[in-house]
Amino acid sequence: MLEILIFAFLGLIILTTGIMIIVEKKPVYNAFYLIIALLSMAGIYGMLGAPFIATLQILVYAGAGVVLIIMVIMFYEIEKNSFTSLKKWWTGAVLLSVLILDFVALKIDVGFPDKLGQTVKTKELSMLFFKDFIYPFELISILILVGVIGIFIFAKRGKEG
Amino acid sequence: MNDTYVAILPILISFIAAFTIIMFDLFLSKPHKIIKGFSLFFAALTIVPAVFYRGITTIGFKGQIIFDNLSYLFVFLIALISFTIIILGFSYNKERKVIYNEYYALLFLAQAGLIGFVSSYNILVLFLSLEIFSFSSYILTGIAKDRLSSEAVFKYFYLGIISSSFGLLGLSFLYGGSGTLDLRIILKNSHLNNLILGGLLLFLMNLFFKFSLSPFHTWTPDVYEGTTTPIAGYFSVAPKLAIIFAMLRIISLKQLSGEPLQDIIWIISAITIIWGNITALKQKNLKRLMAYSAIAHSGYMAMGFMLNYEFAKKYLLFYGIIYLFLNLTVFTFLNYLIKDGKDTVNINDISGLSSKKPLESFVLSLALLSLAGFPPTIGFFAKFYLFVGLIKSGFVFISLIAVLGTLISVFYYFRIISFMYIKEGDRDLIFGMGGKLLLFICGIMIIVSSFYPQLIFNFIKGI
Repeated sequence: MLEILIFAFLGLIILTTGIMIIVEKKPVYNAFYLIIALLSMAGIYGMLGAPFIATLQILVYAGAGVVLIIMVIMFYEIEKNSFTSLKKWWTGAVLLSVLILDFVALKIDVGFPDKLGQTVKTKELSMLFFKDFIYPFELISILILVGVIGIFIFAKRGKEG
Repeated sequence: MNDTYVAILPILISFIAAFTIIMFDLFLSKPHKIIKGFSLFFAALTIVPAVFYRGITTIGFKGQIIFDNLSYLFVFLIALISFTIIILGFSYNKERKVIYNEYYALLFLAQAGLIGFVSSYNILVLFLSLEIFSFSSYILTGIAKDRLSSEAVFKYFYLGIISSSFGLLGLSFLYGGSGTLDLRIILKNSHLNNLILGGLLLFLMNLFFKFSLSPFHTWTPDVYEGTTTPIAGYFSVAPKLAIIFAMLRIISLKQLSGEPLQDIIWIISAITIIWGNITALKQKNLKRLMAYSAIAHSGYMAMGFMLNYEFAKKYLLFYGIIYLFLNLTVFTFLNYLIKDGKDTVNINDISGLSSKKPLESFVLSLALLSLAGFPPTIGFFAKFYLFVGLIKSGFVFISLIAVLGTLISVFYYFRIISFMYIKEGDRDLIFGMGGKLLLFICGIMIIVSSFYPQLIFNFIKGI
């Protein structure tokens, strides 16, 4: 019963924040709602018994990805005072409560549905990465390098300015 | 032979070439001359493993990478293409002010991606290698950084990532439907269920985008027009050849004729042949014209995907190799049609050229006649064998459409020749040493192979 309640709650948060991302006009708020949606998604992963994916979701998407988005917003100075407008007590409260919910969800762990196979531990996953799939892994690193070269070329100003 | 280090050698050489060039660019004070020399050296070096290990099948990374005769033949051809494109870039880039030495590094990265794409059955590796090529090609498209080139990269990039994401969706269907990443196991099942069939279709759509077949061809003319001419030449041969090789691998596992996919390929190639040829008729810009010609030729080659493996490895591969040499000849010529940093590739710009540059005009005419499939030339044999293979396999109607398309194509190829020989004009061109040499070699190739097509059949015999 508890897992259904928490699942419904997380789902509701994802839905509302998903809609708010589209409806809201201030870009910083959009990023904020995106963080909440991604954190709630991490909770659902945790409930499914995939703690590794949940952690990655928090670290990579909610952490690095959205920080990048906020950095771009700052660069463009779309809205000078947007950060002071976020300084309200409830923003922190919402973030904290979603994070707590994530930990609760991790404890509940209903497990993966049988058809999708077993859950994978972090150690097994890294063994896969560095033993069986080392070649595709290295290819990804090269792919990122190509992207970096591209950004360098397109961002660099030519000699004539 | 199970040796990862030998198997990865051609890819490794390309990567090392790219990194060396980037490092030279970073640390040397006057890197340009050295980088030019080194890129030529590395392009030549890529051929070495292809010649040395030919006939040996090497497997690496637990079967994720396979170098057999097919892969080594591709390594050989792509190294030739890179070599040509690097030489063409020397004069053109100076003229159009492409100042970035990363140009050469990206060529090698693209080459590595294509080699990896051809030499694997693992769908993860297939996708990642193709993406390495795509990303490099997006950057190469926009490297001139002027208005036309920026427009081209914008169109190519957005359409490209959409098609790539569809391809990725298809690959996830393949994995979901079979539970394995190995294309051999996925396709060897006698019965393809709907999930696998849909996944294969989506993946093929991604390839068809790169192959510029008709519903997905819209990027081609704009990109060819906007980007630098060597890169346009590269796009017109390298990815197409890679996709022919990849399709040969797919056909060797599962014959597409008789599957529902056959009808889709039938329709797509018919539309491509008709649309490409008819639209090419009204083009004035030679680069756009060659783009539509490339689309039409994609259509001819796509017909070959319906053949069985025995026919495809002979006739389709033959067509692909001939098309490579002919298109490189034409783009070598177009490469020198540049003045004051701008492409002067309007059809009027070459009027009366035959009096000033008789030999070069003759080679271009030979290549164009071959592309049109005019009887005594090698292009005729390529088309003839392909059509014979199709008719033997029972595809008579599509062969008729293709013959009709060829007849239409004669008109626009001949118009270029007539502008060169009949019209009056005072334009003169300066072909550098490299351009003269390349045109000379290509001309010899066309003439010799026209009289002795068995040469190329012998070349691809061991596949």
